[in-house]
Amino acid sequence: MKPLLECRKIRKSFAGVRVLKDVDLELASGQVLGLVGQNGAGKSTLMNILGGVLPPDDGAMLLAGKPYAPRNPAQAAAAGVRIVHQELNLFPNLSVAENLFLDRLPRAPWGIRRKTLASQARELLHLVNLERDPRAPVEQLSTGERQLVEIAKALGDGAQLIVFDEPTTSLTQPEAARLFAIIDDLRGRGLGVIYISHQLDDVMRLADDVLVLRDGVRQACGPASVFTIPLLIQHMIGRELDHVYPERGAAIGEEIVLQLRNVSRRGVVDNVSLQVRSGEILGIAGMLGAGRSELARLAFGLDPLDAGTVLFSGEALALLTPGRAVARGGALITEDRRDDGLLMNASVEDNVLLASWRDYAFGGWLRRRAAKRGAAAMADSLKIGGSLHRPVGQLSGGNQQKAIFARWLLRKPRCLILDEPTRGIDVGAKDEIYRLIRRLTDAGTGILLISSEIEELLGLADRIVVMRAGRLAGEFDRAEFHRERVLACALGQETFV
Amino acid sequence: MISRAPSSVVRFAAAELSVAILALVYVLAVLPFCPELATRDQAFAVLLNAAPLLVLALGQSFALLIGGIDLSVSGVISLSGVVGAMILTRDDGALADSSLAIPVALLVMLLIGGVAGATQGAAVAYWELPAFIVTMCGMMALGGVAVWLTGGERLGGLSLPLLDAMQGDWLHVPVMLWIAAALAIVCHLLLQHTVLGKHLYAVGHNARAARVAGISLGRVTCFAYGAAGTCSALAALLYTCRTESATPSFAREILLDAIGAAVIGGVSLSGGRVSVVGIVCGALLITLVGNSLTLLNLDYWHVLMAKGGVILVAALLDAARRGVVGGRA
Repeated sequence: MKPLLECRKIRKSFAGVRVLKDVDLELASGQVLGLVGQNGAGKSTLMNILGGVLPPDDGAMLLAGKPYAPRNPAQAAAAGVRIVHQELNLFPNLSVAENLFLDRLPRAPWGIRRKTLASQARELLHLVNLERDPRAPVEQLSTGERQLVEIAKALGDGAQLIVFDEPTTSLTQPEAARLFAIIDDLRGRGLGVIYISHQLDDVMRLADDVLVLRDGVRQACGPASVFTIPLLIQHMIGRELDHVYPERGAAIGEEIVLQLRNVSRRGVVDNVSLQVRSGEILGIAGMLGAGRSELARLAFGLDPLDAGTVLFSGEALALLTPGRAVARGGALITEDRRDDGLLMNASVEDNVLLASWRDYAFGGWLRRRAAKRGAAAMADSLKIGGSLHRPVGQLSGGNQQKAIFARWLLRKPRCLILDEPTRGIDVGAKDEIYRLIRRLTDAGTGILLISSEIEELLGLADRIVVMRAGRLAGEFDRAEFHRERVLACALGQETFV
Repeated sequence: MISRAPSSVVRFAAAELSVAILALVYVLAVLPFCPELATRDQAFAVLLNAAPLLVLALGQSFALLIGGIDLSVSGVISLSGVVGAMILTRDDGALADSSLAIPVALLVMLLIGGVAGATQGAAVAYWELPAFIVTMCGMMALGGVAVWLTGGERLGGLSLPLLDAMQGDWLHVPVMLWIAAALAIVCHLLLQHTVLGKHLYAVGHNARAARVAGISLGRVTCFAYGAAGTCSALAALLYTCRTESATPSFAREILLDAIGAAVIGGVSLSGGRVSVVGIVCGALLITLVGNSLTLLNLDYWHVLMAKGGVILVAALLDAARRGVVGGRA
């Protein structure tokens, strides 16, 4: 059978650094290819070349037997190649139907044929099993629904090959399950699919073939049936993972470093009380939209409380602001590095020092050399490589996250709130983040850990509380940790187990 | 994705270098037509004209640095100039014959600027209004108050000791130049060597991230607009002493010259980027264009056309240097 897509010896360098080294790729119609690798392995670059965003330095591509060399994303789309990105490319203010038919709206002398548009859109939405009014503006849709719209758009435009780049990052579990069903359906229609993800079990479940990239080299490739997840990880990082979750080095302390009393905010968080001791890790499990991130924002003074009290190290603050929380040893790492975490265009050094300038000043006057030394030592101990003067936006996801950890480690926080600390970072970097978390608790920091990865909570936390629809729905001590029970509690299906 | 960026030292040097080269090219290009430009008198005239503009551009850069803008410049200049003149007038001023007149007037002028600015900053920070709207209202309202106070008349007859001092020289260099230079140095130190400076940069880069890191957006924003207002008031002092009068309807075009000087100097309108050396070069270049074309007996609209062109060229050079034009951002 003739392959749908063939890439031969694709090469790409950025400023003399080789990012892709003679990568071959083959994909037949009606096949799903799983593409895995650590951050910085070259997956995104390869997809950008495929999607016409970047030209390759060398190598050739064939699409359905014909030479394929898109010069921009529009040409790639015209040839039938579509990339469904992590950040979706829809216009939120336009309706679903308008988004679907943006460049070929059914015209009439007086404007747009609304009825034709709606009925054509309904047909397309039917293909992806999305029962929504096509006249609804896209901003009213959930992330998962928007993704389906984007797939429908690709189908409507006659795509032969759809690339999914980390499609499940912001999906709920039912949404992800629906996406997988659609991908199976695409396969049945004879489309080619490339599926990029850090979620290796998803890849194993979906893919016919798997391709592992490491440092820009095709490390392994073959039918999914010959791989196991540990084997994939081994190929990705080049060594076997021994201790994923490091052991506790110091006992949990007595002092309560963070306490929430009856915290509420209308519509998102309802009467939540919890406490974290020094050196303890309290995990918060729950589905997307259960109010976990909102709780973190409330505890840190980023959003106003409707009712309740937050105590840092036993001290209740009349007016809670992030500045006061930080001054009392609080720290927060949000789930959204780009918007709430980093100054993307500022240097690594400035990002690391962001919360500590005052500590390196005498009466407002900076001791810049001391600050530089402090930042450099911290970056060194966290193994953030490269010059500290380059913009932090150029770092890989894992190193960006380490830069934010370095920022708070410099302040030796009493209490750290972590919201999805390992989202979108690769296996090797995850391991380092886990060790950092342990290093903090061994030094007496209490940690509130929000994670959608149940394994992470089970591996790290001393206690887990479960949130559902803004309320606390259950609590588990380490002795009674049980994967299915925690999940069932989060889903509100205790009877299920 | 891996790519190398030049160190920040190289990038900053490049930013200021391109403005300096642009200024040099401009001087060489017009020199054959008006050789007077190279005389000591003309050089000082350019510098003296550039001084109040530099003060305004430095003030504006505080607002631009945090991703805002201060349109209230002409309003603050009018009001603080007029109030200062009312205190200082020889015959019927509030403190006409008192020795306190000068210090009180200076203090009140700067206070008006600082308070007007900080108030606008508070409106931007705590009411979450767009800076463009708030400061545009400030421009109108403050200018209106100035006209109301004076009945629309220009105020003259200022205290002679002040005029003597401000129009004089110190170490063979005009006092006004010393003032502008001192302000530039203070701004540079503040931006590069203080906690506040780092917080201003942080808010300009990403206000949400700065807030999560414990930086008070309200305080930083109030300071930035307060500093911008204070600089406008200082510029009002320079203008008042140079023209020996204060007008309640100060020309609004000065705002665009100030923004132009800042942009030429590499200040980003989207925040997070500022260079005092660049702003100095920018203010000089804009003044050079105005002075040289006036020397050539060209009309006001020619000067405007040339200024527009120069600012555009500077902005293009800056964009090209950052790899925006003709490539991907």
